[in-house]
Amino acid sequence: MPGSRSDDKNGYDGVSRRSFLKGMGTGVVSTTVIPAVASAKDKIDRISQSSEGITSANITLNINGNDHRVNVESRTTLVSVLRNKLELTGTKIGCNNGECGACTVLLDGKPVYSCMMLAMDAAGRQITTIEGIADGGELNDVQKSFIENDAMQCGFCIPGQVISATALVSEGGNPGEKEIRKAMSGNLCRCGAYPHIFKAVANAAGKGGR
Amino acid sequence: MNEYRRFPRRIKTVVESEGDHHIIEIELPEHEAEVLPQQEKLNVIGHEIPRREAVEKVTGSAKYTGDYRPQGLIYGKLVRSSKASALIREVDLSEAEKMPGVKAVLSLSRDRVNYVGDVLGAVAAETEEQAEDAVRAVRVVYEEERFVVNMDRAMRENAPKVLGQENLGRPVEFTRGDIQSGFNQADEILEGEFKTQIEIHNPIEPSTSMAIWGADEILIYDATQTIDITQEWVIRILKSIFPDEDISDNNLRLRMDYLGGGFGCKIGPCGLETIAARLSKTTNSPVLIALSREENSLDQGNRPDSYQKLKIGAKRTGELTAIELEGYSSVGAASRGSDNLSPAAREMYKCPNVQLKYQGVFLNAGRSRACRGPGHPQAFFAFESLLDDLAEKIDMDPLDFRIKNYAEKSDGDTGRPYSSKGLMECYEKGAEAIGWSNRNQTAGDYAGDKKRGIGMSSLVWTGGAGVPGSVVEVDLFKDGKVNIRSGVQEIGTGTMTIMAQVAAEDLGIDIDDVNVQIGDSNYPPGCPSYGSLATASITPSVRNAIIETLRKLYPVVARRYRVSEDKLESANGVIRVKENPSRGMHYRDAIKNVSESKITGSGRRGPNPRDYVGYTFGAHFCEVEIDIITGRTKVLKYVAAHDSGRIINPLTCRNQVHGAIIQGIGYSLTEQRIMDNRTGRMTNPNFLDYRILPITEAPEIDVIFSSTIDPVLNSLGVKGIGEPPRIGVAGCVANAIYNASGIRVTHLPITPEKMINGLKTRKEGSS
Repeated sequence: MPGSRSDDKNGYDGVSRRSFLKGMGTGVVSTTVIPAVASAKDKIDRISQSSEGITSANITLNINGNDHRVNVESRTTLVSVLRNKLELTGTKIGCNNGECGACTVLLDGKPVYSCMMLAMDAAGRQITTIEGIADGGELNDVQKSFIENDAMQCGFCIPGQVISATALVSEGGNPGEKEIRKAMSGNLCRCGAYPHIFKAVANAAGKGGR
Repeated sequence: MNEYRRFPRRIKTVVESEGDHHIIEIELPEHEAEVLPQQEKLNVIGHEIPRREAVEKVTGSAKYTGDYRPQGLIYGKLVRSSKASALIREVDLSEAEKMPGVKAVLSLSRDRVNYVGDVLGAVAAETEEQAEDAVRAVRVVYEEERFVVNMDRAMRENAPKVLGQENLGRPVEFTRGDIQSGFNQADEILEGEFKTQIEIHNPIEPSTSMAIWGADEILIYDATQTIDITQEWVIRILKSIFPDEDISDNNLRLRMDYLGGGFGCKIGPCGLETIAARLSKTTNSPVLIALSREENSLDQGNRPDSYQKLKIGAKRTGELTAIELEGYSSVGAASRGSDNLSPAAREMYKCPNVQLKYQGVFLNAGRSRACRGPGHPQAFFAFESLLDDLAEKIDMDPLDFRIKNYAEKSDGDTGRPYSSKGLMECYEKGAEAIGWSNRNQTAGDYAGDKKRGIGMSSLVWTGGAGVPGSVVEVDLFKDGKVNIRSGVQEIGTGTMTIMAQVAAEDLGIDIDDVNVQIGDSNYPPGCPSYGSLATASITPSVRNAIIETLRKLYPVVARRYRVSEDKLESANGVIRVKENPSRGMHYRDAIKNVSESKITGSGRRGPNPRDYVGYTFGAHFCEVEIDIITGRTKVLKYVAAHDSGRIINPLTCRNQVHGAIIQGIGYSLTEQRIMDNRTGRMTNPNFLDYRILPITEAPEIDVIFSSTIDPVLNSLGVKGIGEPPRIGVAGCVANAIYNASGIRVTHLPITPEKMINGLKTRKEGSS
C-alpha cells in the first residue's frame, strides 16, 4: 500500500508536511515522470499570472509513487490534472461537486474526492489512484473480492468504490457492518450494486459477507 | 454498407418493445439452434460466472467514452438557455471566440428556447476550463415569454402554450368489455387519485461523446444504449447539415467499449454526437464533450410524473369486475406521448371490463424519455395501492385477492396465451421468504415508536421476449479459440459474459477461450440495450451463429465418416453423425484439416412466435419500519421473486435485480425533480438535493428466480430481467407502509413529512 498513514494527533496534513520537508530533491523540471521525490521548493514554483488574472504554477504531484511535474492553474482540480494532463482516466467524474465519489483517490492513504481538491493543494502529498492501487502487479484483496462477488455493474463508480474499500481494509481491525456501510457511504452506485459491494468489502476485510 | 444489413430473405414480423408494437422486416436465419434441454444441468449456462470485464473495471483500465485521449484532443462545452421560454434575439459568440485556448465556436441558429438547459451552441477549447470560461463569455439576448414547468399548472385553461400548441397531447385510449356493466356487477368500488414524481435517470456516467472527423472516417465514440440506432440518426442529422459531404455507414463509425449506466437516458443520440462532429470538422481535432451532472439533469431525459385517477370494482368474493383509469404524465418540451400507464390495469389481472385513457402534458422543461420500465412503476404504484385498499374493503388477504384474479392469458385473460408465466411460483416462494403470515392483520396495529409492516406488489413487464434481427459473427481458430462479435453494448448487465457462456456451452470449450467483441458499428448489427430485450435477442443469435460456423466444417467430418453432410449435426462443439452420435469429432480437430487459418460464420435471430405473448412477471414483498417520531421509513427486508425464464448467469442477474430494487426504493422514498414555478429552473440538478440511495440505506434483498424455462420464445428459454424488478417496488413499499402505519400515501415520494402529516391526521381521527 502506498501512502504512509498519519498518526491521528497531527492529522495527515502534518505527516504530509513532514514527508514533504524530508524530501530529497532532484529538482528535475519535466512534464513527465520524475523518479524521486522533488525538493520542497520545487513543489510549487514558477507562479505566473495570465492577462485574465488566472494564476498558474508548475507543481510536482506524487502519484502512485512517481513524481509528475505539471503546470496548473490555481483553479485546476486534482481530478482534472489526473484525467486530462496525466491521462490517468481510471479516476472518474460523476458530479464534479463532491457528491458521488466516482473521483475518489487516496491522499496520504486517506480517501478524498479529487474533484473537490485543487491540484496545487495536492502538491507534495502522496496520491494513489486506481491505476496504482494494486499491490505491485498483483490485484489487491479488495479488487479480487470485487471480482469474485461481482461487486459492479456498469463499473463507472467502481474505481472510487475500490479506493474507499481499500482505505478501509488497509486500516485493519475488524470493521463491522455499520462501519463498512459508513466507510462506503460516500460512493454512490446508481446501478445499485450495493449488496455485492458490501459483501466484497466485508469479505476483503476478513469478516465474511452475509 | 455493412453487409449484414442487406436482407435477401426478408419476412415481416411484429416486434414488441417498451410496450409498443412495430412491424419490421428481418431476414430469417438459415438454421436454428435446437432448443436447449429444460432440466438437464448445463456446463456453463446457468452457472455463476464473474463478469469478464471485471479486471478492467477494478483496475480503472476499462475505457468509457470520456476516457480516450487521442493526440490533439480538445474539449467542447455547450451554450445553454438560462430561460424556460424565450425568443432568441441574438447569440453573440465574438467574445467567446477571443478567449484563450478557444478553437471553435458554434451557433445552432435557434430562434427560440423551450426550457432551461436547451442548447444554443457550443465552444471547443484546449482545456475543459477554457471551454467553460468561453461559454460564460457568450452573450445571449432573450425575449422572454411566459412558461410553465409543472403539470398541474400546464393543465389549467390559461396556461402558457408550450411548443405553441395545446399542452395536452393526443390521448391513448383502450377499452375492453363494458365498463358500466362491470361496475354494476361490483359489490365494492374504490376510487383513488395518485401522483408520482419526475425521476432523473442519473447514471453516474453523464452523457458523453467524442468525435474525430478524419479524411477517410468520421469516428464517434458515444455513450449510447443503441449503437446501431444512434449511428443511423447521427448519419441522418449530419447529412442534413452537410448535404455535400459523403456520409454513410461506410465512413461514419460509432464505437463504445463500456457504458457507465443508462437506464433509458442513453437510448438514441444524446445530441452531443453531431455537435462534437461539427466542432471536430472545423478544428481538425478530436473533440470530447462530457456533460456535467447539472446538464445531465436538465436535458438528458427523465421518467415523467403522473397524475392517475383510478377506479376499481370487485365482487365480495374477490373477482375484479371493472377497472377505469384516467392518466396524465408530463413529457417536457417534446412531442412525445405519455408514458404507457396501462400495464397494471390492462394486463396484470383477470378483468373483463377495462377502460383507460392517458395522455402527455407539455412543459417548459427537459423532455421525458424511456426510464427503466417506462410507465410501469407509475402504473403499478397506483394500481397496487388501490388494490390493497380494495382487499381490505372486501376483507380478503391481499395475496389471496391477487391470486383470485390470476390471468392465464394476456390482456387480462382475454388475449393470446403467455409463452410462459411463472408468477404463481413467485407468489408462493416470495410470501414464504418474507413471512407473509406475520404481517399485521389490521393495518397500523403495531405497538411502539417504530412501526413495522409487510406489503407486496405483483408486476408484469410487457416485454422481455427480445427482438429479431441481431447478427453474431464467429471466428474459429486452429488452436480452438473463438471470437464472437456483434455491435451490442456492455451497459453493465454482463452482456459480454452471457454471450461467452452461451458460446462456450455450444462449442464445448472453456469460457476463457471465448473472446467477445462488441461496441462497434462496423460489427454485425446487434440489439439495443433497453426494454429488457438484450439477453433474449442476442443469445439466440450466438447459438445460430455457432451452428452456421460449425456447418462450414461439415465437409471435413463428412469425408472422415463417409456420410453426406445432411447426415450431420453439431452439439457442444462436436460435429457428429445424427444416427450414430459416437461417430463425430470436436471442431478443434476438424479445423486442423482445413487450409484457412480460421473459419468465420454468422447467424441471426429469427422472429418470435406469433401465437404467444412473451412477458416477464414477478412478485415483490417487503418489510418496512417507520419511525413515528421522525417519519422516516426504512426498508428492512425485500424479497423479489421473478419469472424471467432461464437465468444464464445468476450472479450478474441477481446483481441487476438488487440494483432495480434499490433504485425503486429511492423512487419510493427520496427522489424527485423539483421545478421552481417562478424561475422555471430545476432546483436540484445534483446528487445532494436529488437524493439517490447510498449504501447505508440498501436493505437486505432476497432474490428468487422461478424455475420457469420458457418453452416457446427462443432456443434458450430466456426472457429479460432489466426492467421487471423496478416495476413493483413503489407499490410494494407503499403497501408495507400502510400495513405498518395505517397511512395510505398516494403521492410519491413517501417523505418523512408526508408520514408525519399522515400520522397526525390519523391520531386526530382516532381521538
